Amino acid sequence: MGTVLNSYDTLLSQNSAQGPIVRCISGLFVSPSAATVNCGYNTLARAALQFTVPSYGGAVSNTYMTWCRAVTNQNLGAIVVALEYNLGNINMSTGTFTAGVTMPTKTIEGSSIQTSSMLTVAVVTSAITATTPLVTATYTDQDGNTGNSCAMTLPSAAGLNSGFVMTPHLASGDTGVRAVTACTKSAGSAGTLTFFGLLPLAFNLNATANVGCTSDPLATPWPMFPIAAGETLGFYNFNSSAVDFHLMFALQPDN
Amino acid sequence: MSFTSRADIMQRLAAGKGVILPIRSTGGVAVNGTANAADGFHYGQPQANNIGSAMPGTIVGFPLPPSPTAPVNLLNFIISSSVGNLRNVCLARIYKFGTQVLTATGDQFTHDAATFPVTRTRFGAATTAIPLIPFIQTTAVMATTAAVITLKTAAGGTGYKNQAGSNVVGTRTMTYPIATTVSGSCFFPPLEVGDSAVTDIVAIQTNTACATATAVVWGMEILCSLHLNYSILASGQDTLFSGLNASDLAPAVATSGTATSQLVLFQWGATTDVWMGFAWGVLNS
Amino acid sequence: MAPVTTYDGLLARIGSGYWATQPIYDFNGTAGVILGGNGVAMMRSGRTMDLPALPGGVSAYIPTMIGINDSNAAAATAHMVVRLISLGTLDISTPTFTNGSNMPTVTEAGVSRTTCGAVWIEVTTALNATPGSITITYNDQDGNTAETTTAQALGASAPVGSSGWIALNAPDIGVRDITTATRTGGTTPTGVLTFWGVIPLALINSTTTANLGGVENLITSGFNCQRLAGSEKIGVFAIGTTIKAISGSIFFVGDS
Repeated sequence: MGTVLNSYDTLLSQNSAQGPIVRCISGLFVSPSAATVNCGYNTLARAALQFTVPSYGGAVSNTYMTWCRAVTNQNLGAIVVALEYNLGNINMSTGTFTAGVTMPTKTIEGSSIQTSSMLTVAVVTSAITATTPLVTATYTDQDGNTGNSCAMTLPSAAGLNSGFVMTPHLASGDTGVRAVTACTKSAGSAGTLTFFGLLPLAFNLNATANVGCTSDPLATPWPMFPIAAGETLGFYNFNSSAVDFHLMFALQPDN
Repeated sequence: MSFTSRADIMQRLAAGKGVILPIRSTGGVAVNGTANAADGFHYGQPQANNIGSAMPGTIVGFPLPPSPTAPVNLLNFIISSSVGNLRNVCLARIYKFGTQVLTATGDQFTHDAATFPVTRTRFGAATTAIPLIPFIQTTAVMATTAAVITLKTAAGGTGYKNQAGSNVVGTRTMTYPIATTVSGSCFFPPLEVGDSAVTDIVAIQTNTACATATAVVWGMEILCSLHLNYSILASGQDTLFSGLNASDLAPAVATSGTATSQLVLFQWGATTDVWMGFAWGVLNS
Repeated sequence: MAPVTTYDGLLARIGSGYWATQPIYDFNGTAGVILGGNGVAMMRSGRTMDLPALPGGVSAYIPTMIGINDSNAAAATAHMVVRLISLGTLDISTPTFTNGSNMPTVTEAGVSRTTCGAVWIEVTTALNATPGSITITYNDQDGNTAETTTAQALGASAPVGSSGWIALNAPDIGVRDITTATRTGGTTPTGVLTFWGVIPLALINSTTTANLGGVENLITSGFNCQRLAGSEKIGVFAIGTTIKAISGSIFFVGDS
């Protein structure tokens, strides 16, 4: 198990020996379809761009996001940078559900934890043609119980990269999702809805246009999730506007 | 089993046993009138989820997952606004005591069906009444006359139960600062000297009636306050490492029935700022 | 001598005199114009001198603290402090592309690779009123065979210091190199663009109140420790078109 989070000295040591991964990504968030009390409660867009973590050298087990900054050109936004897991999708024409992955295990504070997503999002990944479709996902919850349902009524013809947070619509008592095991839809003739489980790495507030409000992952009361090579980072913006963004982050190598 | 350590909390969050609350508020109302001794000095307004209406319209709260099975202890609360004002904003749970008629004098308070106090575990004791800060929110614009109220019956009977649960007859009046108080304005009726909170509202006398205004009476449980908040730049409270303040995001429970409650931002003062941010907490089961 | 690997190591280098501060200063009095056809304008808000060649006993420059004051109160702004790699320039009149550097080869998580960056354009000679559109041909973040972007409109009469970002072909997030660029359309277009590859260092906000700014502590408050080579360029950019007037400094420790 790595030791890079034990002290600033070990961070500096690994930073020197293995080198950080530092990126600036410039892109766009679309103006998403609005959430309602029946689908997510908070309007959300997923960026069309994702970051695939490159390969690591043999002495590097994982990396950690220790620095993240984001700025957009619109008011009233909040960006989440997260490890993103494709839990499956439903074809909104045929109703066919294709299963994805189960949320991974991660070592947190020395213990192997079966993660669950507290921010599971249903995203329009190809444009949907449907009239207020009722989408019901069957999922495995945070305790490993199977067969619970999450039902959301989406807006008609929800736009590409619109996201709908499932959490308020989970079964009574549930807080997280480990896997999506099935899904049905009441209407639709085209499009795809994909379920993404998120493990947030950084929370950025972008309430004021052109001003970056940042989080310090090392000093935030939030788990430092180890990031493996090949994993995907997704970017999500709670904002109803179309938005330009510059997103910057640094990943530090662990041993 | 309750959490016992920082590591335990982090592991629970990783396991999905907690809550992430995205926050976008509706924006406030420009409360009018100058706060003074006669109206109790405090004023402000709650803001709920922006997909609902601005207060006092259709309220949509910041939703927790449905019916958490245990307390959800707040770990972080961070917000920002697009407007450059100095403002105190807090994350609060508000509970509806009932409604008040301001357009006629006399005993004009109608309690909601739920029986107060609302309770939660306090200092290890289950089902303990929680103290609330009372405020009254106009739900229609006032006209003609600034209304006056007192926390008592017209005949001099109990107006509220104080922080200790004792019956109290209020003697201090609250006079609205302006006859045209806008809808959504919130003022805080003064309690008797020595009292700091209420556990229930029993009666409110409208001493002087106005034209047109109606009102809702709420009790506020402050969960986390950002006392110095310059909007534009984010303000936050790490309630785990930077000032332990791990309040319960889940609502307290009425003695009987179901109390109407909402998780809101309460903004002190009179601006229309809209707030964005996050709160998150851990499930303590 | 081995590079610094501890906080005391940084302190010891400072104690031995291997440190320097470098000023940031600029006044961009002419508002920028939307460039690149992508959303909003950006503009150069600050300059600092190029890092000198590495002196004896210094293997790299480590920035540890950056502070910026904004003397203009027009609008709250994020100032993005970035490492700049000139990927090339384009004189849009001919048009003539002059190739620059590739993104540098660095060690990332134990792997030596050519890193990648977003591409920000900067007007270095003002554009005329009808500058046309540009495309770039680039190798993406994975080093794949060069591909060409869609045409992106230049901003009419964009003054020096105007900036913007190039939209790459989905799903690309960065470039390793620009192999060529060209201009199409326009009417007797004139002007020169520089294509910068960008590696981020810091983001510092200013507010609507003049003469306020902020700092980034890159070691103990948001860990973003980087080692910069001699002769590297650092720039400061902001979103928006309001006048920018910033000053500040960067503190460097010379690595061993």
